[in-house]
Amino acid sequence: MIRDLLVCFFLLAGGLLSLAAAVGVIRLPDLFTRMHAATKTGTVGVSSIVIGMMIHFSEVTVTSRGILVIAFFLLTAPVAAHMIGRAAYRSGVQLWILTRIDEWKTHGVNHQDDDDD
Amino acid sequence: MPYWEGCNGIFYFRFAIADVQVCDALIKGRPAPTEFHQSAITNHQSKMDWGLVAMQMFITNILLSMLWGLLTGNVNEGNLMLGFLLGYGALWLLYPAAGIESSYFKKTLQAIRFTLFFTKELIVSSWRVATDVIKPLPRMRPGVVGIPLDAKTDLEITLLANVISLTPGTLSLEVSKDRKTLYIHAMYVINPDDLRKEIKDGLERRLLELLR
Repeated sequence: MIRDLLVCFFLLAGGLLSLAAAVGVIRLPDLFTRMHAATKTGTVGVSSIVIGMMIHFSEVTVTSRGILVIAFFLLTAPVAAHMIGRAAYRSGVQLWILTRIDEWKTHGVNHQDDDDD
Repeated sequence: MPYWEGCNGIFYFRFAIADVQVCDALIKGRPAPTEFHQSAITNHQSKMDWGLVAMQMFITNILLSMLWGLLTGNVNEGNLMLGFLLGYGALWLLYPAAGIESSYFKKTLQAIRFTLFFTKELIVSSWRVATDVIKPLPRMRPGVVGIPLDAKTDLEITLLANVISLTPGTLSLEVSKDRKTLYIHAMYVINPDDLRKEIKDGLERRLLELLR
């Protein structure tokens, strides 16, 4: 009973978070804010669904695989997000007009010149 | 007999065997002399050495769990995990014998604490992003902020950038060429200094505590 409730909670939370991620991709104004919604809220959503699955089956083999799935998600998602964001910024994708501050531009070295590393 | 008598016994045992150098050879698989350990203590600051010692203890722990599995004749995941826990306890009892302050046990605690802290951050901030996305008028204040880095080595910077990217609401963009600044894109920049302080005091301090 309690277990079913927990499973329901995790599955629903995961589904809603994934939905929010999808809505965010459409609604948010520029590439960088969309990356926030798409990669991370989505990751947490999927992790939550996997946790629900692990509780539902409660078997060592399923649980260990679930932990691995989450671990690899957490390992790969930020790398992809980082690379896409960096590439976008360097190739001159515009930030949203209401972006308040851009310290990379004001303090950072001129990023056009240093892509030799 | 009061219940703590037994606990005292265990603690006494734990430090009594510290004098027995044989245990040292037993744990380390090498004769007792302390040259190696001394260097491990004196070079405590250089990350390589504690990494080596903790890694050795971790491998010893895994070997112990395999031994447990073989001895009980039952090599499945649950039993191996039990063996690992028992081995961890055995190492905890024996490690003063090695004559070094191994960071293995402290690190385990810190790792657990960091995981809990990070999970909390993950849940709180993804809730914030998710609700904000759905609101009729999103209250975003995005911005690109430079964070001065205390992290020095490649490993530290990589992990910090990864952890920052993982937390919803912040996304690491670029490390400056002199490796002193990490530029991140954040969704809620009310005040850049507050954000800097939040990340330095929260994620970076805890991560460096764990790694050093």
